[in-house]
Amino acid sequence: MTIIVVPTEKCNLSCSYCFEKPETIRQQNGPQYSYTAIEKSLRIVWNGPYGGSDVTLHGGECLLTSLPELEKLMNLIYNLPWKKDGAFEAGKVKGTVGLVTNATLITDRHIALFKKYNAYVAVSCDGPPELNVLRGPDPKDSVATRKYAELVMENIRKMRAAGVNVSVMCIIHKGNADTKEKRQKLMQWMIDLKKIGVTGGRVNPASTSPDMQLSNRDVHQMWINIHALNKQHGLHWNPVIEMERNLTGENRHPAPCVNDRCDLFNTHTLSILPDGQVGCCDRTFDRGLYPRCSDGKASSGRYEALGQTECRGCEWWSICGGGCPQEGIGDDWRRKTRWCEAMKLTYSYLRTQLRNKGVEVNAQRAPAKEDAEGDSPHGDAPHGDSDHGDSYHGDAPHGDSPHGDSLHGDSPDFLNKPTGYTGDEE
Amino acid sequence: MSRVEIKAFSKFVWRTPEIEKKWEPLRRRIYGAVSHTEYETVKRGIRRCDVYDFNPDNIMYRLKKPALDGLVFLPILISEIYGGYAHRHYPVKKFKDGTFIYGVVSNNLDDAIKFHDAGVIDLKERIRPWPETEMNPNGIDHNVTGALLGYSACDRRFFQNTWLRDGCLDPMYEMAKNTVGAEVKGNTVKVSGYPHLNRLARYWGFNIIPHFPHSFDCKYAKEYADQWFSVMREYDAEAADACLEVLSQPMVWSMTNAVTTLEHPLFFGSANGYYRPESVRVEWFPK
Repeated sequence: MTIIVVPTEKCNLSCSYCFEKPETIRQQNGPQYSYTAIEKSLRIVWNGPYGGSDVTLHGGECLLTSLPELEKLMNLIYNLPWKKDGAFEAGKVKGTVGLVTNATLITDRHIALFKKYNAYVAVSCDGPPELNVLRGPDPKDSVATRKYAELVMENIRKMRAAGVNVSVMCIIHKGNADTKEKRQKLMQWMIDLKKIGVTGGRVNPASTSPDMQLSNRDVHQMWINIHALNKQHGLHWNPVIEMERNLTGENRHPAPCVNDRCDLFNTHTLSILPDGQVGCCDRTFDRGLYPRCSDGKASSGRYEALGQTECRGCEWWSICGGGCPQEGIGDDWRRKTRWCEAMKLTYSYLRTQLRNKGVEVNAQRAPAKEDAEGDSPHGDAPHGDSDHGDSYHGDAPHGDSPHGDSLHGDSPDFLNKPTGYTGDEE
Repeated sequence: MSRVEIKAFSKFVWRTPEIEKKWEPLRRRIYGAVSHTEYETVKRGIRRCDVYDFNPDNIMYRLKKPALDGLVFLPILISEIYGGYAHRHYPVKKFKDGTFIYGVVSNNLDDAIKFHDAGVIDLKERIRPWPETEMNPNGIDHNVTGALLGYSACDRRFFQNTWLRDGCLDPMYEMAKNTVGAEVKGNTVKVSGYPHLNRLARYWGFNIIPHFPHSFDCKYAKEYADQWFSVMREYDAEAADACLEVLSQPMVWSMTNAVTTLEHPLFFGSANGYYRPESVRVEWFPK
């Protein structure tokens, strides 16, 4: 489970597909920031079932917060007792602070803070400047967008040069991943990022902009590309690592959070808003669902219903759960995720890969029960997305999958290339 | 229609803490006013019977009250407690934690007995006009009970056709379609109606009329609702007016995969519904 601390709902950008719409009243006249209220709420939730969760500064754009206030928040999070066994107090475990940012406002003073508080900085960035076209202050203005995208890359390099832990939250859409050429550029960028020490992050499909949304086929293609890239280059891009672990049973709960039967009214991720109000996952803000339901234990019916209707008999049900309610088909939270087909294809593909390695796969395991000590991972958390060191160079992911398991002809956009790649069959 | 069994539930969040601060106390008062009105309408002879259920912990008060008011109470069954919008009772033989007493109050013994006999569940030997079926698991004679509860013939017929025959356990879409002037496009109905007959927000306590009218403009239901509203206002005018305000605002009710959702300017709610293969949607506009 993840706690996101939202010091501001405002943002300096206007990314096309953002689920926190800039024109909403909340962004213009949102709740007033109060450190005292945030601290109080954080301590309350930390001392409850969310104790031990990752805590991430989020937004809006959290770096719009003044430096002194930002430091107070980082200091607060850093000094939470990270381990319950006393290791933190004994100095054996360092505190950390997660932070999600668009990286346009970073100064040397921010970088100093990141170092001081052992920050894990997740930068929202959709690829190299020529592909990062839907984010920025005005995505319709190509000159301004290019300038923005170059600034982001420059700041990533700056942070890495200073030794800050950086990962990337990459949204895939028609602007960066609907053709083989774009996907190859995106992968080359991931390979280049490794050279400056950014070895992973997360690749999520855009779900809030129908015009720019990818097909399930394209999402699947990108995910299996990433799988191959991880293996061949020792990278750690999700969600494919988590999906693999779901198949092998290594995850205590299905991961990421979207696969763990998240209740729209009481999401796994909990947010603490600028005025200290405790809310749901920021994805639900788009629906105007800021508060949490007071009856947290009652079911919202979605999973009972999906298990008997749209997802009935699906072999991936126990590790998928119908996906994120915010990504329901037709924007209907009760329906299964619009990325169902991409997930099915990718799970089939990953299962074949694992079986070829002789790894036991069991997708039928019962989902873990929600419990107070649960640690359902959150898809956007910058913590802990690395540390998966079983890459196997040269283990070709194509050519030996049995027919009828994954779709024939399913293969990454590139194969067996130790470095960048310029073109291959798809 | 296929049955998809999901546990009865209802979930509800106010849109903002400011809205909650103002409206949650009012919601409690509305709930109190509605409960009062249900009982009071029998006491005043507006209708002949009322469903009367209570927790055994309150037995002394709940038995004394009708007796002191000159009413008759007849118990019908002991049922398990359910959350949300349940479509049936779950009778049990003995009291235990989580059970309640379900019965009828009436202003005369004959009507209480009629209601009892039409709704009693454990008399297996009796021949019933509505035998136990998938859609009527408790085998209740809804025509008799509906009449005793004061519902008009058109609404009772609607209930029997939609609920019992067609299995529409939450017939908001059908009510909307039956309303004069309703615009039907695909599976969406845009409708304006008499707010006193709006049943879309009943899961969370916002309702005036206690049953499903056959439309949002049924003239008999309107007359009946007006009587109810007067009783509600006498008890707590501010709560009654607040309830009407909630019911008058634009709102969207929908049902997908046996789960209903209500998107209201003040709150967002969800409850169990019933399964139908297609999603249905009712967009309500005040007149």
